Amino acid sequence: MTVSYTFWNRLEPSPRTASPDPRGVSRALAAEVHDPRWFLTRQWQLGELRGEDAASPAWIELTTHAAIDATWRASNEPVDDTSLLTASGPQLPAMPLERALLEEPEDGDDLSLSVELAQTFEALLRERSRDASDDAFVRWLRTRFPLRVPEGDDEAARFARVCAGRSWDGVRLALLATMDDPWRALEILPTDAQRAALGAFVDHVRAVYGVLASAPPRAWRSDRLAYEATVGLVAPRTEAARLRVHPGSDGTVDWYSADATRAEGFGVTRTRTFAPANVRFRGMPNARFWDFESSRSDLGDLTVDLRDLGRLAVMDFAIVHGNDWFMVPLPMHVGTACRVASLRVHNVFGDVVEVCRADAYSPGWSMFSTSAAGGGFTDFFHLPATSSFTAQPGPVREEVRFLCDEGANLAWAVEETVSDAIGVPRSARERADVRRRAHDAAALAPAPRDDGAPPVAQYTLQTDVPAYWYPLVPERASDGAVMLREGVFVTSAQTATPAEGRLLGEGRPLVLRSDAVPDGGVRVVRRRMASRWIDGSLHVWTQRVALPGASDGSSGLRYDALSWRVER
Amino acid sequence: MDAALFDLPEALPRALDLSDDALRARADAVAATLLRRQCRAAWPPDNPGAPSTLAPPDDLMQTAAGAAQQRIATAPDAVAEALFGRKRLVLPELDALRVRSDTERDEAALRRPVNVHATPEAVRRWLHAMWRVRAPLERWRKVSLYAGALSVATHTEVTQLEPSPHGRWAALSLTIAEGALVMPPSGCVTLCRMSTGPLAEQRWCGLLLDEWTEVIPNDRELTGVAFHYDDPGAEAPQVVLVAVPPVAGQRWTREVLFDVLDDTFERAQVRAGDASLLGPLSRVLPALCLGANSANQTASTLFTGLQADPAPPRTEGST
Repeated sequence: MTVSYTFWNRLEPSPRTASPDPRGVSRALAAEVHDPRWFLTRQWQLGELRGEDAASPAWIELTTHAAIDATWRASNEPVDDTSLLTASGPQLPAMPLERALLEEPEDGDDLSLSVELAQTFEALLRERSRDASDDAFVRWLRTRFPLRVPEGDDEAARFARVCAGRSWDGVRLALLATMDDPWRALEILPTDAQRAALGAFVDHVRAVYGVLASAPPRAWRSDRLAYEATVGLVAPRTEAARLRVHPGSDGTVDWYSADATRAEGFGVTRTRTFAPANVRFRGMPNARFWDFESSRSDLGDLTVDLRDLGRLAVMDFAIVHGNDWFMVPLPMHVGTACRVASLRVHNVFGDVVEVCRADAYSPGWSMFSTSAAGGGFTDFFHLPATSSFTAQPGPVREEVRFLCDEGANLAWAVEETVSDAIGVPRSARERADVRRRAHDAAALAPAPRDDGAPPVAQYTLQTDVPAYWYPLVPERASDGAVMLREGVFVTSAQTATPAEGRLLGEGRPLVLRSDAVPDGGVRVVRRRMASRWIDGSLHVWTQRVALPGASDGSSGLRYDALSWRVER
Repeated sequence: MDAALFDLPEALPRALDLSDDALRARADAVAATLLRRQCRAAWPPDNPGAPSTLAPPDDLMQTAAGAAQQRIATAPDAVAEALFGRKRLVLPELDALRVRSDTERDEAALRRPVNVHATPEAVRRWLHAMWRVRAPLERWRKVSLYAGALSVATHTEVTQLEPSPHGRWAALSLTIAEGALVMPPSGCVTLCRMSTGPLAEQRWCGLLLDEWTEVIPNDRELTGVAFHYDDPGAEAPQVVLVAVPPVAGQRWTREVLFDVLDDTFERAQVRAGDASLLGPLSRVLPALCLGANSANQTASTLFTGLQADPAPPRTEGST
């Protein structure tokens, strides 16, 4: 007897796998419905009908402690327990934090500024009086504060020649006007209009230029080529925290630019209630299946590699865990810090659930918390009074490149751009070329002769380097650290050239920590910044920014070199 | 002399010993050049409406002058190039405030410049601060300093285009009203006109030196606290179940109601069933199962012949 077996052929569409249908699984995902129960089917499949031992949050009770940025000190200034609270200086929310911490006093060594201030004073005087004695006063000012005319025939000299005799040095009047009794120093008896004009002049200078002085910024550490300052937060009469601020490479101070060196109790407590809202992003899938969704984000088009943890986290959040994340709004004044003391969720069943900080369970992870100087995180968030989103930078006024020269076993400070006598940025290379040509012309150097004479060997003890390259010689400090000290480099053409800019010109000789000049070098620029502030006021200041350098360089410096040249 | 202003240096003879005939010939040549330029300024080369050049010169010049005057509004650069014989920098009238169509008339009411009565001291402070930052304004600073040194007065006037009435220069510090800072309307445009001469009231033209956008930051920012909370994932059913008692006239009981609900959900779940989910029942559910027997001892439905012929295998070519 033949053994047979019976089987069944079951016919069913099964589009979950590859099929002849060119649309693939699209039909299955199209969520076709043929009667109302199909709606329930999809909800059942996706767990929307599953009961859980949970309740939706109804309202949130948020208790916060706050502290306010009060004042600041440079990191190299002595700070004791109370000095931050009593330190003199501008109140921080009154101006952008960048201006308060990073501002460099305006250099008065600028001919165009001298003329500008002189004309400003004359205009202020004209607006107050038309008396003939005022004209005589202005003529007297021209003789009392004459404009110095620099030598040469560059643009600054031409400007000075036009203005000399027609204008005067307003910077000197501005410096004198800040004295207790400027009229005594001027040795004249002013009229009421002149007195009023000088008062308005002082206000104008203070509002537009701040302090006229040739001093580095208080918080600038020339040995590190970086700013370091300490900001004190009070709440309200005791010091709540102390932050060590280090601006970013773009020169802005944002929430991540500070490390807490001290965190005490925040005094101001406030409890508020909010209705929670789901954390969502634009185009995020809805938790509910039967819902119209935005097509802004095509998550199906995402190509995610298993190593791409960022995208994986976003996908995971958007598809799986998104509906379990909530947020409550927390308005904060700029220039304050906020610590969340407690966050309690009141759900629809009347239960209260206390939500702890995320880093309470995993101390190595936190978001938007201020870092602690000793490692880890603090439990507060600092919203600095920053102008990072509103500031507009001006042109670079000065640039110095610090670089390592492995060939010469030296580091160099190279003045790339300096401001001339009327404040116009000029290439240091061009200025050095002009000086060198003038030097050659003065020395009446004969031109090389090319009469077919055979070249002769020439021994060179040391090759020349450009005059705007300043050597930094490594040396070991008493504490064992390697420092770079500015040396004197004498070329064959001239003696050591004084630096033209402020970055290298102040506090010479320059001494740097070796780690301030990393591989690839660093560029330090001075530029003006302008920003409106929260009260609508306009702030303009000059600050320094340390930027990563492009590469190491070579000065071409060689010793004991033998070369061939044509005899002159 | 007037002809020399149009880049015609030959209109001013350098030699003083030219004869009258030579001077007359040169004057005729200059006049012909001017007429030719004026015709080019009045009518483009391909314009068929240009009159014949055989017309009397005086009539032709008068006609051309009128046509050129009309063409200035639409093509000032071309007219200037034709009149001067080469390209010249032309400053057209600033038409930012001009109403181009009737539909813009309502909007133009808001775009009318408002004199914000900025004091000279406020303007000076603002200008002296901004030209330290804005490179294009630095050039105006230099011009102003030279002008001041040479006793040439410069004038600065501030007007403002306001999307909504404000009346206060947006560059000034904010005022406080009812305990809150009064912000200028978003989109406020300040026009700062600078000149070495008195400024015209209505029509003006000039060089655009610089433009930029300023943002006044908020004194309060909206931050947020995010937290994780296990929210139940249940959602309301997408359908409304309209149930009737299974037996007409029967009253609802709890058991009957539960049965109706259970039955509804069971039937909904059946719609998701396929072979892998049905397990042993896959042979009987759903009903579209067709029996077959390997020895043809029962009624069978065979699909062997229904399968489409597979595509012929590709021949591997040798290269």
